[in-house]
Amino acid sequence: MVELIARRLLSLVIVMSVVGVIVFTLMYVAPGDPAVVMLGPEASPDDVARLRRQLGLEQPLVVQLGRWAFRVVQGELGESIFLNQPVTKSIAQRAEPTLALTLLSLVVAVGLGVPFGIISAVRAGTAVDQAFATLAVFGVSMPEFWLGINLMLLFGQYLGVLPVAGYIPLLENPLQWLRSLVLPALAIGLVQSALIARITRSAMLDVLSQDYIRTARAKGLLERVVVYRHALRNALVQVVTVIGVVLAVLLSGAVVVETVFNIPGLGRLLVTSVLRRDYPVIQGVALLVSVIYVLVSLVIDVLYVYLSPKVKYL
Amino acid sequence: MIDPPPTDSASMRPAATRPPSRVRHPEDRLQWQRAWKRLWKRRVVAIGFLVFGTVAAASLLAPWVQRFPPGAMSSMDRVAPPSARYWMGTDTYGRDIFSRILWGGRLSYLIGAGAAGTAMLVGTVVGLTAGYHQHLDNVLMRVMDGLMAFPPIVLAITMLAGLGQGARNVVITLAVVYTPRVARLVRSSVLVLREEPFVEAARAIGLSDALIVLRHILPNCISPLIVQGTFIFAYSILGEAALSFLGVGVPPFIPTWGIILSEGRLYTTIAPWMTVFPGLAIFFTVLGMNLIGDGLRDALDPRLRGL
Repeated sequence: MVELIARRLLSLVIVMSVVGVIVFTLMYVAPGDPAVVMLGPEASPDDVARLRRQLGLEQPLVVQLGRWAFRVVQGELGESIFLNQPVTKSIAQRAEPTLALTLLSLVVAVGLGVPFGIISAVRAGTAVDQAFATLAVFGVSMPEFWLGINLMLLFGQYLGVLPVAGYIPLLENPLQWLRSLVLPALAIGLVQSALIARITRSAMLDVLSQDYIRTARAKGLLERVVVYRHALRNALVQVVTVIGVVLAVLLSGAVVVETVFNIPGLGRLLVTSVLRRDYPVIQGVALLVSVIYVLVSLVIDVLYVYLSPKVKYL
Repeated sequence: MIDPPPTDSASMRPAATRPPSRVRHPEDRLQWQRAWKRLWKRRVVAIGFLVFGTVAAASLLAPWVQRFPPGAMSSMDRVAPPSARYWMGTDTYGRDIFSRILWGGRLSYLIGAGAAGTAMLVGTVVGLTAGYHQHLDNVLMRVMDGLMAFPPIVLAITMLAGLGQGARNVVITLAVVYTPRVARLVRSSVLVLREEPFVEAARAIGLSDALIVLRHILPNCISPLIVQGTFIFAYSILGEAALSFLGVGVPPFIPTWGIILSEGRLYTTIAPWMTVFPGLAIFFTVLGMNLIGDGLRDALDPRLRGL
């Protein structure tokens, strides 16, 4: 186990280095001087020169990369050009809504996907199974942001039961916080629950055809006990492995859906920074999000080995 | 923007007993014919072709299907709800949304196909190289891992920040996002195939590496690639729509479905038709591709049926 974690940590360092190089290079693939690009065409030569110095653009690219990486490792992401504050601070201010939205949509995705998957597997081949399969294909074919707009129209506009847009911080008013996140979390979570349902179903079918399930049935256990105690536990191991992928997609979804519901999260920050060409913020958000993603994948890999004694090596 | 569902590559192994032969073996054709038959037997595939085909045909035949020229504005009929004259209503300039969706589809398909095609091509080359040449494997796959360490849309937005907006850059960006997924798939097929007796035999009679890879390994990777391709095309269409919707994708003067949607976003409460219909066009396209992809997977690989 220790060896596994050590090996995964090592590969994590390698992957993060690659990520760092990618994120750093992006600023330099843009045609023209990054300082001019950031300040816009009307900037005075003095301002450009100052920014060039501030960014250390006179040095060779490798030196710049080294210095940048050195600072990043220490948790220093630089100054936002537009917001005039450290990038870490801008990110900290925007992290809460995105994390809340992602976790809530994970609850939706797992909470709907796993039960639907179990029912489909237990009733495999019946009309119920086919109906769920149809729903699932519909689900994965929908752009989340479009589903979000439609939910907003239905529940916010026509029925008027939920807020149309905006975000209320958790500490300000927990009930309003939940109400403000229900629709966006549904928009993202519903689409992903389709994927989780598919995987739960195939994992359950896999397990249900095993010998020990037949044994369990043969010794007269209730079907309920067989399905939930014997089959589900083993099937869930497979479901856990896809949660890492699902989480990446949920984060992606959050980035887009935040725009629909006007939620001031990391996605909004990223998109507005792109429109403002605020490169330090873009780099910071991209780095942070990928670090979270990679760490979650690591935790899930370890969890998988822990849950499934059969897997000794990954 | 979603990850294409993983395609099980190990299951695409050829019959291990097949003799190594440079002549096209009759069994090859039989295999494809059987797959074709299985494909058509499945109702969902027919529905998929029907759904996708209808939207695609309407778009391709836009000049003949359209009700109004794509740019035609009518200041008298701005933000008009759907009617006999304007089937899907009009936008804030009084442009017929139905006609705009037809023309937008051409652009969306072009971008989706460009991105998916590029990703498949580059991903296949990377996957073949990494799988066959072990000393390149580590380098190439670590780069791919690095690209996959971003949630797809975050990588796309970040890249577009560097490259700048534009249709070509959206194609490049989406291709970069999906290339590692293709590369991984191809590589894992190659790793299995490389050890097969028929590859060993090809090596034993002194074929060059290039010939072995192109003639003997690549053809056996084709079927999972086709399946993956349909999904990547679908997700590229979704990806373009999301990026353009956010305002970081193609510029407004290239009216793809994503752009039409983003134009309607501010008016959703007063004119829902401006977002509902372009969204439906995307939905039906992606739905059709997903059904075709699922059907293809079942037809080309019976072992995965019912997944």
